[in-house]
Amino acid sequence: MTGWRAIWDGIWQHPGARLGVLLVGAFVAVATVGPWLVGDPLAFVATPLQPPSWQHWLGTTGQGQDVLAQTVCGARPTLIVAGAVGLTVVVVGALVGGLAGFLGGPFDDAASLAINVTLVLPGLPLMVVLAAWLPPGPASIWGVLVLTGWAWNARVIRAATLSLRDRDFVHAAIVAGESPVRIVAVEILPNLLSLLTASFIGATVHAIGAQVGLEFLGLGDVGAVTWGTNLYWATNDAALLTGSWWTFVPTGLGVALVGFGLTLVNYGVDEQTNPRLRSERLWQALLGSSLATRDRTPVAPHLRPTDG
Amino acid sequence: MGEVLLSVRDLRVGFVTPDGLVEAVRGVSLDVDAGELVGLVGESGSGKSTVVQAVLRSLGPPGVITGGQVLFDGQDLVTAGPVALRAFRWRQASVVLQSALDSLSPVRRVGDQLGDTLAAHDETLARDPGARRARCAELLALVDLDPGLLDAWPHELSGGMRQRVVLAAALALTPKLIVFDEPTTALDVLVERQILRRVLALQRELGFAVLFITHDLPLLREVVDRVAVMRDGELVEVADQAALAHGGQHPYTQTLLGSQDLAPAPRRLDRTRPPVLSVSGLSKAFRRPDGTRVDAAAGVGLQLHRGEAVALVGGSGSGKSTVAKLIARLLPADAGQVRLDGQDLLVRRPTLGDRRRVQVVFQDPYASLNPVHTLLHAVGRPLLRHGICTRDQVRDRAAALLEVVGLTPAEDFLDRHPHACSGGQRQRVAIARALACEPDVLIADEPTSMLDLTLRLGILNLLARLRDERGLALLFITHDLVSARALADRILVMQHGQVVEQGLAQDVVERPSHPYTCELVAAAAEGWSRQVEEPPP
Repeated sequence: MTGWRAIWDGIWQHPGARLGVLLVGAFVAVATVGPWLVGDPLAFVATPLQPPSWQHWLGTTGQGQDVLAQTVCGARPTLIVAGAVGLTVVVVGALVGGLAGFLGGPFDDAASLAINVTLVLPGLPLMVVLAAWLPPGPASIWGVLVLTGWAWNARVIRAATLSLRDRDFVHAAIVAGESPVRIVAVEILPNLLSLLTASFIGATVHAIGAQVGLEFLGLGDVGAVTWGTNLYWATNDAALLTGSWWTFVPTGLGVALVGFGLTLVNYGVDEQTNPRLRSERLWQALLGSSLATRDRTPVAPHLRPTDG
Repeated sequence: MGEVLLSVRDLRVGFVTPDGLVEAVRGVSLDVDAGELVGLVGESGSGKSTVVQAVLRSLGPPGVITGGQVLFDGQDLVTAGPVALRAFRWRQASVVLQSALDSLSPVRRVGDQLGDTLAAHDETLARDPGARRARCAELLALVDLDPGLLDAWPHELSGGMRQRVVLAAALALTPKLIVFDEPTTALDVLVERQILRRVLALQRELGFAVLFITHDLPLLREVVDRVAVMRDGELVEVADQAALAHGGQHPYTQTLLGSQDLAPAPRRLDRTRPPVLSVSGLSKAFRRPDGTRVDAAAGVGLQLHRGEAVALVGGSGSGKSTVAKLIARLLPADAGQVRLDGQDLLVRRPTLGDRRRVQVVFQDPYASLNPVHTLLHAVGRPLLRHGICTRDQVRDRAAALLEVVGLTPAEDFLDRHPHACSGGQRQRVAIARALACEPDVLIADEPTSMLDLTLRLGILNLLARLRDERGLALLFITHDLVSARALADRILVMQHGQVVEQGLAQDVVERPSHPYTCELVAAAAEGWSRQVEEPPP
């Protein structure tokens, strides 16, 4: 799996992307083990709307619940749903887009029609209507976000597949008698690994925002503890009117930092897709910015070739 | 001839990579006198284009000059600042690049693009559109183009015409030096010859010096004053005309000059048995975006016996690759029959068995292997797909196939990815992959045209050996009559989608009857100087 290896190296060697990995990693760790370390997020533990104190580090909510416990416990369902949406969107997009791009003809016509219709539907109202209509819960949120989010990915992957379809190695696979699904899955999609990774990250970031937004509007399961419902209860309990910032800032910061971290990771993936970005960064590091003029070929008599 | 115009002294150029600096040019020294024609020759990767980009100071990151001098009329360009460079570029030295398609902007008319060059460097012309247009028309006339083409879009011109426009742009400011960086590689042999002839006539008339970069030494052989031969970033020899006539001093120069001399062995074939592949009336038409119809194949017929090699020869656009794709079922045919042992394949969707029996080796070895998979996957998949061996045996069978095509020891290659192989090795893998299916018919679509001269012979010999040892029927698609003559028993010449001449290889080459074949033979076989010195017809 040299492809994965290369993408990982690209991320880890990029200073920003490395920070992103650490940020996202920290949140995933909190989401994994955190719920066992804090108390019951729904239990009434103290007077409502207390500011942060030594007993309750992040204060209490309007219902007298511990904000730290809610923030930590809310991370898990939020990240799981976001990851699941990202994965489904990429898989559906890769299959529909890949097959449409490779096969062309009637299949492509039908798939393109479906993609374009989905793209022109106004996403936000549709999401709200669907979420209100379906039974509240993570599965509905997942379904709504996949339904409204798959098309853009499918279109991008279809375009990328079109650019690979006429490569000779694809022709060779046809001549060898391989089936269309296998050609798309084994010969074409592995060449798009960094695009797929970037799509996954992008879709996940989008899913976090959309999911939190829907739940904030009360369209999720308001009895569960997620980042979105945390914010829903904060406004319901008039946190903004009373100035109880500690009830919504921790969750909001969590959403923002995970999104920021994933976006940073995508910069690293970007360099993998476009090696020119990386070589330019290396080049400037080696020569110093004084020589990095665009007007002429740099001249550096002090540089010596590296051995080996 | 005259005084020294360009003097490159001990030039060193490197590229910054993640692993540090890699030197691509190691101490190259070269002089070009005023009005002289100097060739810079080497195979791909030898550093010849890097030298020229560094000389013109057009090499961008990650390239970096690490030493040496480039003196042009006494001024050192390596230390020159932006202002001096701007005065030097195009006014003193211009360049004609390989791909005319990329050199012209697709969204602007030819005349506007030529005019830009003039306006950027000449204040009088910048203020006077009428005079600028007149000068542009003059430039087009200089390169044998109709001045009416000033209002044409680049896509309306053929490849050869576009390259002439680029040449006109290079002449615009009457520079002292014009650099040609593989200007004809993307063109047909016949167009290539016309353009070179025009360049030489213009050089005589206008007196500029030419630095001509190419991988094709025989092309320059008799027209250059001197040739510098590069290999692996170093100059191996600078030979003058007289030395070249004797084949050069350095063995590498001799290889570059002589490796096309292939001598076919006389063979006797049994053609009394029915042919394995019989094609008749094969037709395919494409529509251009403007709606006009192009017949890529119009009623093509051919027959192929076991153990026989047939060459399909023609220039670019003659339809020869379309015929290959039609027979391989990569494109649906409009009409015609492709009979394999008497059974027409075109009447049904290709079955697995049909696929197995007709295999293809593609032109570009860099595109024909999937970069994400190992060679074991490339060669092993067809074995599994067609049930030729079981999963446990696939490694041994794939290794055996790699041995057959000369990749030894095969164990070293099986787990490599294509990027760890040279172009020649990749083409051998592609042949092994085709053989894995145990085909009856092997279509080789210009298998050597993207390879350097020194590798071509090896691939041609391999194909000939497979034909003889395995009784393969070989359909060899090429634009190169020399390799067709060397490998094929019979030659079919195609033009505009039709077979215009066919016969035994020897007869076609030695006694061509169709005018198009005569032109191809002339381009391939005769010395360049005689062609070039002739007055244009």
